[in-house]
Amino acid sequence: MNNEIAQKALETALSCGASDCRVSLSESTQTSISYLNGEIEKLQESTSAALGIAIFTEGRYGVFSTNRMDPDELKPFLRRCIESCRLLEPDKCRTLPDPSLYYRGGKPDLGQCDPAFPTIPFSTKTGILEATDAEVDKSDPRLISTACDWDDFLRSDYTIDSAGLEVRSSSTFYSISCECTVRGHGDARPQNNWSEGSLFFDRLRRGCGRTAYERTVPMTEARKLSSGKYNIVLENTVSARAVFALIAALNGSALQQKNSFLLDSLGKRLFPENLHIADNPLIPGRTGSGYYDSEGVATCFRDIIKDGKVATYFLNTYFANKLGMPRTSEDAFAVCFPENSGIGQDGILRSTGRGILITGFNGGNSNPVTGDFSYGIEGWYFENGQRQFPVKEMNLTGNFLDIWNKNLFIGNDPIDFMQWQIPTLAFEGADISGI
Amino acid sequence: MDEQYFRLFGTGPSEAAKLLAQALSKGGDYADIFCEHTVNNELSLRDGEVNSVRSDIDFGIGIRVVKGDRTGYAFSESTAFADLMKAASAAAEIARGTGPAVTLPADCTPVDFINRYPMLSDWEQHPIDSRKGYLLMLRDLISQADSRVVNITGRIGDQQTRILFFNSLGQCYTDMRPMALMSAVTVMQEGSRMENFYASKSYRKGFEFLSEQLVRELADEVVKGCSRLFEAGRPPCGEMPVVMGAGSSGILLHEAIGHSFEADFNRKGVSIFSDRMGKVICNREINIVDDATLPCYRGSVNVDDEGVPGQKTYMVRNGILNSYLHDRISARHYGVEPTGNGRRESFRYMPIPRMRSTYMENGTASEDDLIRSVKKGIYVDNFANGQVQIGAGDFTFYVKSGYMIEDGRLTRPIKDTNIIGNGPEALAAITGVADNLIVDDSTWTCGKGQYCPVSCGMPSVLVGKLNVGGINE
Repeated sequence: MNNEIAQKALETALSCGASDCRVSLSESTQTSISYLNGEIEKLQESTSAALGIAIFTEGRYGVFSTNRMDPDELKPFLRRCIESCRLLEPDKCRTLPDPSLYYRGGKPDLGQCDPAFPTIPFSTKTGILEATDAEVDKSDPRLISTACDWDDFLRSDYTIDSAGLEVRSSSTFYSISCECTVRGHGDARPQNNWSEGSLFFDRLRRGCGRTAYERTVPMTEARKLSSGKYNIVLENTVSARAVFALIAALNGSALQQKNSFLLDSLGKRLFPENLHIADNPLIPGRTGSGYYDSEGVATCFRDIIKDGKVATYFLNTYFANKLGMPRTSEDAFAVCFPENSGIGQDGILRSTGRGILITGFNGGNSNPVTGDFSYGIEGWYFENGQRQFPVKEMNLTGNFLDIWNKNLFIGNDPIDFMQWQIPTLAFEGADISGI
Repeated sequence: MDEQYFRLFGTGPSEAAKLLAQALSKGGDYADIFCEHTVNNELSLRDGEVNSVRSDIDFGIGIRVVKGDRTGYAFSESTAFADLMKAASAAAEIARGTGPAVTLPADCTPVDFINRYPMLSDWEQHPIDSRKGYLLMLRDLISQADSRVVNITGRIGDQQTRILFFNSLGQCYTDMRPMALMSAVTVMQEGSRMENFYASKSYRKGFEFLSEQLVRELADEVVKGCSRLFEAGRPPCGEMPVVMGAGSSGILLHEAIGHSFEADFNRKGVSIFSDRMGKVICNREINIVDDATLPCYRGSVNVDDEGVPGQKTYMVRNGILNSYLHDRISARHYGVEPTGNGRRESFRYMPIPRMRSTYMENGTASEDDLIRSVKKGIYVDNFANGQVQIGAGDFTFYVKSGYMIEDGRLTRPIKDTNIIGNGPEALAAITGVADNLIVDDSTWTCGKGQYCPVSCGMPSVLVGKLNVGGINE
């Protein structure tokens, strides 16, 4: 990584009149390979680099990026950036972080980067895709197509600022996915898919093709249920939907702009007493782990909801200044549930008894100010803890605060390679629109 | 052809010929070179002041090789010829042969097209602060319109993209693609209740995009839209008739059928419409088009990203499925001419079939007729987002606001409901089309692994039955 480019950009910005400046250089290398029905269909290889520059000048602020890093082009670009900033109204809340909060290095490697990345042969990747494709039952006359994708990347970041910050990190990721399409009733061609991912090549699980096929075939018999109140179980592949809205509502931007259903919620018990949600970005080998955020501020374990009370807002330097509160973390990096019900999906289905296991969302959205939501869903109707038949083309409607207060179970089964470790979740009495 | 672009990208016809030869050196059928320089600026209003700016420069050259239905792709952010040759060599590998299979034309001929978005006033001639007054006007109009306003954010964005293109068919073009947008979000408070509303306008225009009229329309839309939400509640749930108001209801077409008509899905046999070409799929009075030629619309393209001039494509004519939306690969697969739908987000992506401005042509009914014909249902006219499952045909769109229809009249406002249906069934269930077509001018952006600006529109229509996400009463 050519760190000198970033250092030169910082020097240039300061010499052109910036009061303060933060520069991030990002470089990435990636490969994407697509197979369709066992044959290669698409291949893309790319290497990319870009500079991100935050400029603070005379109380004014702007953020800029370019992938044109020749000094002859960079200097006039930075000069124009600073001139643009000077045309703004000052905002005294735009500052660099307190340098005492910076990550200063020296901690053990968090295991985010696979040293084997450059050594994985192309033929190994295509071999995995061919094996994935072969896992699908090609003798099934209903099968229309199998699409398998390989994606990998190596990304490196180097960030410095005029207050002495200097941090760097690298990460890798590999993923395989498979999507099957089968002939259903009439013209319908139900599809389903499965993905596996890993920071390290040698930990990448196989079996996507088989799982995708097994998830697709039953969907040919999917039907709609009558409208009504149903218990719902969110599979661990989709359960982050129930958490994302909470995290978004606790973000400084939403709070400061009064665009949040969790305004003035800090310290208040708005959730069930046993609910504990946290952010833990310091676990070695876990996707999303990192010692610092985009401003270079050190990360830490942080309770988000503890004993049912809101334990933190996510405030970067700007929004902390705006709200007159201490800076926390700019976002949730690795959300987890430190306490759970001690059972996985099967146990939760048994304990819930009857309801809908949601395995996929189809569109929908939520209102950030009220927490109201409405989403299209598909999955399985279950009774006595057993899947009965697949369901589709229905809507789940409610409010995030209401539904969390009807939480029945928190599973112990988050998917290991996901950045947010959200397990299977169960809720009581949700509004379902069907026939 | 604007030869200044040759200097900008360090690539002219002679360099392109060498790169195309390298790209086809392993036996590819077709190759193209897509050079892009995009400058994007954004100015923001927050807490009553214009106090944030962002600018981005993105520059690169993508090289694609096609062999049958297979595609190899690589890009370079450098104009150094050696880097470009390396990208061409990487893309060439898809063909897996040992030598060239096609002969390149000796010269390149500029693609003939009509400029659908001439800029009257170049954004680059107007400094950032020339936009500030419009954001401050927006602030004043919204805050003065309603005492319940507690927060306003606004944004003006402008983008200029320069494209230089060559392909192995001997075609080339240069194109300047402007894009402008202005958006507003307001939050209002009434007692303890708060609501928010978002509105936006976007056109392929230069600085002339900004006007007092535009700002007034935007301010009026967010204030009225947000006010209405205080009266609104959740609709009852279940299946019911839905009258879709003119304009942004075009999201129904985009999600319910538009994606399913993109020919890559049909070529692979995974679209629910894969076997329906030439068949009646809806009322014979219905015509649905995907149109690149609407002057200055967000979804318009002079020439697509593989050198095919922008055009108007009838997807459904007189109720019959008439055409898929093709890129070069699918057109060759089906033995038809490409329809100019080969689009890409940037030089980082290979082109694939994408919609442009998708809308239904006028019918003969009036919107009042449609509403009067409904005993109990809903009327919807403001949307946030949509999605579709291509194979199953199940689509959804999220309704930000609308009204209940009771005994043929609009009654109480509704909000925040997801609507779900099945594409072919919903299309067949359209029983009335009004004569009030509007092509919406909001910032519609379509995601299909990569983002593309699009437009959508529709006259008011009555869909006999859709599933409405609501509360069990």
